[in-house]
Amino acid sequence: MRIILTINNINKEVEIMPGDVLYDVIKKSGVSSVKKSCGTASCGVCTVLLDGKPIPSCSYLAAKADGHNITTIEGIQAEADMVGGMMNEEGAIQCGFCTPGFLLTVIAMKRELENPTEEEMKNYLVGNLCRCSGYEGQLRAVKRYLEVSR
Amino acid sequence: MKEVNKSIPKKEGMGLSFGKPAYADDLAPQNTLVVKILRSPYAFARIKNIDTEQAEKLAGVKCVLTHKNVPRNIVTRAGQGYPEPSPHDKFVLDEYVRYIGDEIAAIAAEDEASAEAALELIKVEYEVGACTGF
Repeated sequence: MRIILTINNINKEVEIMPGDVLYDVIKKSGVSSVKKSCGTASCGVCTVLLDGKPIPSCSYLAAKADGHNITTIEGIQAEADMVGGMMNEEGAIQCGFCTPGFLLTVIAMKRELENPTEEEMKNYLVGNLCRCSGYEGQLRAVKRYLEVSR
Repeated sequence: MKEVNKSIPKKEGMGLSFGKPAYADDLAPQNTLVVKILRSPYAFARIKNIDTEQAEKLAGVKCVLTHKNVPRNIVTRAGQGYPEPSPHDKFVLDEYVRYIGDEIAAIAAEDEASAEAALELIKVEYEVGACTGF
């Protein structure tokens, strides 16, 4: 079957199998930032924005993405540059496998929530696991980012 | 001492943040084969017979390995040091499986679907042994 979607504002018309997940389509399109780890929507490394909302692309059927706009970190690099830099300064990036997905969720949170409390931040970011950093560095970076960019 | 008590941003941090190719999967050439492993459903068993004929015939399958056709080399599952101090206590593939998930066969195929399909076509006869509970 054939679907039409945009990936980072570029129109794509792709042939898929009914069981293909969105991750497969994105990876085949040459995007390197989106990773796959658990394959069960548990870890968040495959996060992409679908019409601006973070979703786990490993468990989202490609067919359902027909007609939608997909954004990966490559598509919002300018917007995410500041928080990415802060993450780096705060020691929140170790192996870096989870970072692109995490940054996408942070950007979605910033667009959606106004002045979130620490609890609200943690709730919003709960789906993006990081096995290296211990989360404290990430939280410091996110708080700084929201403070500075307010 | 001028670096003490100062944060130093990670050199590759920004590249990793923005998903620049860095991991094995990013660097794999387009025509890389996909490997899948058939694993034991038993905690302890002897492989009485293993038939890979159908799997080998499947289109896209390039290689099927079992204990019958790999060299009987002992290996270690650790691998942090050189020379490696950990015990070399495991054959690459063996006639015996010693835990649920122990490797029985490896398949290399042109794509993931063919490799998965080939796994289903391997016929294994087990002689299931008693397993001591701890």
